[in-house]
Amino acid sequence: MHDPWIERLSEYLDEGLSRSDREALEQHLLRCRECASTVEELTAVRKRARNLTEARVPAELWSRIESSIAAGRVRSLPSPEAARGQGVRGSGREGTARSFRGGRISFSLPELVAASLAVAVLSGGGVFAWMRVSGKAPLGSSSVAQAPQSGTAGERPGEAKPLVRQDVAPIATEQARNLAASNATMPGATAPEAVSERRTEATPHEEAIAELRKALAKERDRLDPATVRTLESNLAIIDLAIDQAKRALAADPANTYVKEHLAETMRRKIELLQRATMLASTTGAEGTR
Amino acid sequence: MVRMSYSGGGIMTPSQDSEVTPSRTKDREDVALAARGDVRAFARLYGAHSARIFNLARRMTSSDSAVDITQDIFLRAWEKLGTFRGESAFGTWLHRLAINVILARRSTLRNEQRRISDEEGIMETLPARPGRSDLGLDFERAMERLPEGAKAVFVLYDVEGFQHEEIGEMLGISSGTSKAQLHRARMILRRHLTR
Repeated sequence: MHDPWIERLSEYLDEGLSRSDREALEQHLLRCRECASTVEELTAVRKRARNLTEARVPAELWSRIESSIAAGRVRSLPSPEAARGQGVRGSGREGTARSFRGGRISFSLPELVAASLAVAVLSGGGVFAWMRVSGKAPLGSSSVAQAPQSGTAGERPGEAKPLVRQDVAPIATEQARNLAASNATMPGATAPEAVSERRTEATPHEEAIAELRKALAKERDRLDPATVRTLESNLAIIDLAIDQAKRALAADPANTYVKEHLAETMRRKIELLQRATMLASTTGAEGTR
Repeated sequence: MVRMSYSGGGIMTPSQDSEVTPSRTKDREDVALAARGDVRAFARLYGAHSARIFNLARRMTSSDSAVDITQDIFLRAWEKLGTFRGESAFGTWLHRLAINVILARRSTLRNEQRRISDEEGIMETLPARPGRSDLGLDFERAMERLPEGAKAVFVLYDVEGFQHEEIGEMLGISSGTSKAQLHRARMILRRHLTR
């Protein structure tokens, strides 16, 4: 037969019974071994719940949050079209808290390409400039080699002076610097200085890029071939900028400027891939309506 | 354990909420900076509070979805930093926001309540003592497998320290139902104490 007191045992433990009920239950516990035993077990459950082990927060989580914040920030900056009064599609605020895996298109691909080109080339130009003044050999592409080089004329190799960010990156605002610095200081996040030492180990950025590459590969057939070519061409430029920054960092691990550019360029790549993937998904969804 | 007090107006007040601790002062400074767009300050807030929020999300939902939910919580916090008035500790404000996000994620409150009522009588079908297969489960895995209503109440009461009235308000159930769900959860979990 079901013991009605069984259902009151948690209330008893939590001191939720009236005085008369508590006294009656305590009398019952003296006679009922099952209820007495259950009280002990419930007490143990309660104690266990208060001493649970905390699981570690996955290291890549901050990178994901930071990337989403960065994406929202970039969208909030006026585009050239907006500045000319033409507006930007989907520039609502709702996407600021967009999940890494979801969201809305806010830039057209030409806008994205223009933005990524500017970042990649100018970032690459900054690194290139640093490499020139510090006597390092430039790496590769003529498109990057032709990028603006500020403050380098007449300087001798080995006398590199700190470069001023606004010379080379139009969206390198205080916020962007904050992003870069926070990336380097977050627990669990891969610090840029670790890149040169751990070239064979994927950083959270690289893992995110690989994941997005995979997602984009599945959807790319939905994009116009000319768009895909433009996208790949710009990704290649960004990759070159990343590679340059990594090499520059390997040569001068303490260079904060290069660290920031590496982190920022990787974030730009993530953002471009994210948006291209979303564009492809949206195009596919529209095509099925 | 710090018992939390939920005012019903979106602000919870733990017992030490009125204390001005160094960490709370630091949080306030970082909130002010982050609200102006300083991501480094937000990163510090994340560093200070992410473990608690992540574990709350993990226990209220599942290990699989905890990462995405924690991300949503911090992005929501980033968006809403400007609405933080400093009447409670930032951790308290964030915790409340986290619970809102988690509850919204768990399908809908209506579904949740229906599930709770569907679970009536479940205890009668449970064995009084654990079967051999139950013993292999880790306690936290067992928590994860609790019926949704019982899990929410158990986490909020026994782990997070809320009172039944507060939990009832959050979940849209009576405090009596909250007590019943808590007892239900404990009765299920007692079978998993051997590990």
